[in-house]
Amino acid sequence: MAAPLPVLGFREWVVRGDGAISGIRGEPWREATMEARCPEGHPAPDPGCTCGVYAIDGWPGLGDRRLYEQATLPLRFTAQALLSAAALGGLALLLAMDWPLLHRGSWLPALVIALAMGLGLGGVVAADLAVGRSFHLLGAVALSGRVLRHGNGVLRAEHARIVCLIRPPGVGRRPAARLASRLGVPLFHWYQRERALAYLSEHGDLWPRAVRAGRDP
Amino acid sequence: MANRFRASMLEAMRIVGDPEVITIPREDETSAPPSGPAPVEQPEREAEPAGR
Repeated sequence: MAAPLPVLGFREWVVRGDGAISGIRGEPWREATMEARCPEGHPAPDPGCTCGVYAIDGWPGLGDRRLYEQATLPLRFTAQALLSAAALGGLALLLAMDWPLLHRGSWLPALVIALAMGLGLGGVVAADLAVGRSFHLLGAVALSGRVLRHGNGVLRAEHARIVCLIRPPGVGRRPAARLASRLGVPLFHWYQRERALAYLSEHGDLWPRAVRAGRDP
Repeated sequence: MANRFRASMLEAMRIVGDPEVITIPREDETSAPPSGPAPVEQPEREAEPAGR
């Protein structure tokens, strides 16, 4: 009989420099594999503890509340849209105020208004860019050894290997590709869900299938 | 919105309820394929929900 495949889980990492850092406890993932260790000294993960390598049991949706960064994306996009609208509105207001002044030859008031508005709009644009810069990546992990699944779909595992990285919307292609190359794993983009799942099916099973495989005689 | 944001942060990676447990042969220890399917284990004691 064929060996059971690892359980597929999905998680996120904060990208710092060229490295991936766990968004939960801040441990760096220097390579594509991670071993769970509990500071209390017992084998990890233990059902009565919170230790283990964390993941969720399905493809992370936009705003998935089980992942820190992914949960904030809808709010972040809303803030970006509002800030962009404020910047464009401010620009239109500036033109509406300055145009008549320039027509009358009132250069000084027009310049003062332009400088004041430019300062304010610069702040809005800077905030817009800052909100839009997301530094997290999603990815799929093959979980093996002891694997626990909680009622809300959160998985905790003994051993994890990154199978692929997934670039969420709003994250630059270049840093994502750099990290994927450093870890030696393929990179998929957020809109390539079906392609990524087809690739992942060769590396592991989603939880329901993994449990069925474990129970088959 | 702020409340929703805070709720999201509190809910992230929170573990809820007693876990199901399975054991899959570890990838780094399976040079030879195992002879049978992975056993399904029951937790020996009740897990306490430990939210983070």
